[in-house]
Amino acid sequence: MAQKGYVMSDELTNKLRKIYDILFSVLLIVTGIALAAACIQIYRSGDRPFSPESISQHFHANSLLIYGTVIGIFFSFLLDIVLPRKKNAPKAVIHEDVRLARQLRKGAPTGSYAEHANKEHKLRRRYGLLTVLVFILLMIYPAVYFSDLAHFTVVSLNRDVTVSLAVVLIPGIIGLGLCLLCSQLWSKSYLRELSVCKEAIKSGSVSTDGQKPRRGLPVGILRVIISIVAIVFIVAGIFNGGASDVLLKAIAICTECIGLG
Amino acid sequence: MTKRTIRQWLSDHRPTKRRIIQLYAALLTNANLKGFGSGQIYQGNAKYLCAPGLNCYSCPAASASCPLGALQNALAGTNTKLPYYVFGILMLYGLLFGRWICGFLCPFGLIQDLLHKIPSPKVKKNRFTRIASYFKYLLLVSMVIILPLLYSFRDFPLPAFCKYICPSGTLLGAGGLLSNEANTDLFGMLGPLFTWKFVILVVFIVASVFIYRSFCRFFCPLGAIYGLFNKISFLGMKLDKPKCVDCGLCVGQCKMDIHHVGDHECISCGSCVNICPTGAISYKGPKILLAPNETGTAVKTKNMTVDPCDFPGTPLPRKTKVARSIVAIAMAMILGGSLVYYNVIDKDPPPAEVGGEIGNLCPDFDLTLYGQDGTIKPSDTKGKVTVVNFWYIYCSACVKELQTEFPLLKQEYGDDIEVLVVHSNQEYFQDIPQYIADNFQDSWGYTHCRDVENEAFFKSVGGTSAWPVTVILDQDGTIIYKVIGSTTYDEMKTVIDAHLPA
Repeated sequence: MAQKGYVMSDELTNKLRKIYDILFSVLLIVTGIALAAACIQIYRSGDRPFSPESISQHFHANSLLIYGTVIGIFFSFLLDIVLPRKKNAPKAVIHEDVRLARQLRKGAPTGSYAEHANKEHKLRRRYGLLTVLVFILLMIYPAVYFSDLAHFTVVSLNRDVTVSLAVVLIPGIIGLGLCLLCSQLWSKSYLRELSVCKEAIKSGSVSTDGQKPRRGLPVGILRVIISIVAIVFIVAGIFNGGASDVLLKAIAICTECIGLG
Repeated sequence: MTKRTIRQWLSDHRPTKRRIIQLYAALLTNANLKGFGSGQIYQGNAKYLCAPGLNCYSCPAASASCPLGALQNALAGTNTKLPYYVFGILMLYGLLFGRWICGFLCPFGLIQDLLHKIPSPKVKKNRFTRIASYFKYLLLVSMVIILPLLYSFRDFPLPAFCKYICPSGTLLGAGGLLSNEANTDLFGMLGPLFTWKFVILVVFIVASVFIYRSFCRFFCPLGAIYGLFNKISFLGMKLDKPKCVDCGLCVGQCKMDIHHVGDHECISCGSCVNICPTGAISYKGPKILLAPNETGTAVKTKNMTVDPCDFPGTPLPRKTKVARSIVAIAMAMILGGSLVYYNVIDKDPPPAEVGGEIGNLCPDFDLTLYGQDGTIKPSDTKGKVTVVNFWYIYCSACVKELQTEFPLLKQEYGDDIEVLVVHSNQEYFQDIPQYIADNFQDSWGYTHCRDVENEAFFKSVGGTSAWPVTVILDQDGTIIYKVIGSTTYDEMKTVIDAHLPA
C-alpha cells in the first residue's frame, strides 16, 4: 500500500532501494580499495616516495571514484527522503532459555530433576577446571620465553621478531582453541540442564526453599575505594613525575602514532 | 518530493541532545583550532590533562593528551617509575563516566556515528559480532599493556597500539599535520608504517558505514578499560530488575553487542529507554537533569524514536528546565573560554629564525655536554665532517636509528667524522646521562649534549616538534644534508663520501 506523500508502491520502493544499496556498497568498497592501493603504489615507487605531488597525482588518477562516492553519498540521502526505508519494529533477542534461566533464580528443581541438574552442574565444573589447568600448562613455555629479554635483541617489531613471537604463542593459541571447545561443551551441558528444569517446571517440581537471594555488587563501597585509590594515584603520579611525562610526550609530535618515522 | 516529506525527514534526523553533546565534546577536546592554520601542535600546560575520549595528541587542534597514548608511554617508562598518574586518571574517568564517554564524549566515536548515518545496508549484530567484541580485550592486554611493558625493560619506548593500529592518529594527527603546507618536510617521513596505518584507516572508515561503530565494538582498548567500570560508574544506564520481564526488546533495539542493559558493551546511548514496556530502564545520573521518561517512566509509542533525549513525552518539570539551562550556560562558557584561551590568549612562541638550510653555515650554539663538564659548539668540529642528530628520549624512531644506523658511521670513518647527538632541552624527571650510559656504547663515538633553552638549535635548523632530525655539516660547517625523520646509514654514507677526500 503506498504511503502518503509517495507515488510508488512499497514493493517497487524496496526493489529500487535494494538495487541502489548494492551499487552504492560496491562503489564505496571499490573506492576504499583504490585509495589503499594508491597508497601502496606510492610507497613502492621509490625512496622517500611520498610528497604532495605524488599524492596529488594519485588523487587525480582516482578522482572519478572519489567524486562518484561523494555524489553517491549525497544521492543516498536524497533517496532516503524520497524513498524511505521501512523501519522494522525491534525484535526481542533474548533466547527463551536465557529467560528461563533467569526465572529459575527464584526457584530450583526438586527430586530426580535436581539430580540430573546437579550432574550437569558438576560436569561443567570439571570441564572448566580441566580447561584452566591445560591452558596454564600450555602458557608456561610462552611465559618463560617472554620473560627472557635475551630473545628480544632487536628494538623493533620487524618480521623476524614478529614471526618468532607468533611461533612461541602457538601453545597459547591451542589453549584458546581448547577454551572455545570447552565453552561449546559447557553450553551443551547448560542446555541439557535447562531442558531438565523445563520438565521440572511443567511437572510442578520446583521449590523456592533454601534459595538465597543473589547479592548484588557492593557498588557504594567500590565507588569509595576506587575514588580514593584514583586520587591517591593521581597525587602520587604528580609527585613522581608521571604527570610531567604525560606533558613531555604530548607536546612532541608522536611521529610513529601518526604513521611517520 | 514534497515539502512535507523534506520537513518530515529533517524532523526525523534533527540533531539530538546526544549529538549536540558529542559535537561539543569534540570541539572542546580540539579547541586549539589555530593549530590547523599554523600546522603546529599545542604545547601548553593543558596537556598535563588527558581528554576522556580517543583523541590523538598529535592532532594540531588537540587541547589535551590522549589517555591511551599516555597509558602506553607511561607503561613504556615503567622501568624508571610506576605509572600512577595515568592509572589514576583512567580510574577516575571510568568511575565517573564509564562507557558514557564512548557514547557522548569521544570524537572518534562521533566520526563513526556520522559515517554510519550514510544510508546504506547495515550489518546487524549477531553471535559472531558478540564474540568479536572480546577482541578489544586481547588488544588491550597485548598491545597496550604487555608490549610497552616488555620493551620498557629494553629502554625502548614502544606505544604498540598507537604505532601499529590506532586510526585516530592517522586521521586526526597525520591528516591534520600533513594538510598544512608548513609541514611539507614531514612527507619525507612517510613510509611503510604510514602505508600500513592508512590502509587500516580506510578499512575502518568503509566498515563504519556498514557496521555500527566498527572500531569501538571490536578494537578500542579504551572502551575495553571503561567498560570494566560500567556497572559502578556514576553515569550510564541502569536496569530495574524487579520491573524487568526479560522481553529482550532493549537488547534487540541496541546496536552494540550487549547481553543486558548497562553491561560492559553498553555505551549509554539511551536507545533502549523508550522501548522498554515496563519502564525498567533509566539513566544513572543527577535526577534533576533528567526528563521523566529518562528516569524510567513507561511511555508507549508508535514512533520508534531511537534517541529518548528528545522524545516528546511528559513535559519537563520547571526545576529540570532551570537546571538544564544552568548546565547549558556553564558548558557554553567553558567552551567559549577554552576557544578564547587556546586561540587568542595562549600565543605560540615566535618562530625561530631559521638559518639552517642546505648551503648555509650551521647556526652556532653553546651546547652543554653530558657526561663531562663544559660545552661544545658545532663550530668546534670544523675541519671534520660533522653529523648532528637531534633526538628525544620518548622517540622510539630516534633511539632505533641511534642504536642501529649511526654506530656504523664511526666504524666506517673513524676520526674523519664527528657525531654530535643533541637531546631536547626538556628533561624534567628523566635521567638522560643514565639513559645514555645504559643504552649507548662508548665505542660508537657519540658526543652527547643538550640543546639550549626553547630548543633554539633544533628550531634553527627547521625542526618543529617532530624528532629525529639529522643534519650533516662539511669541513667548513656548511649544511650539506638535512632530513626530518629517520635516516639510514646508506643515505648518510652517500653524502659523507662525496665530501671526504678520497
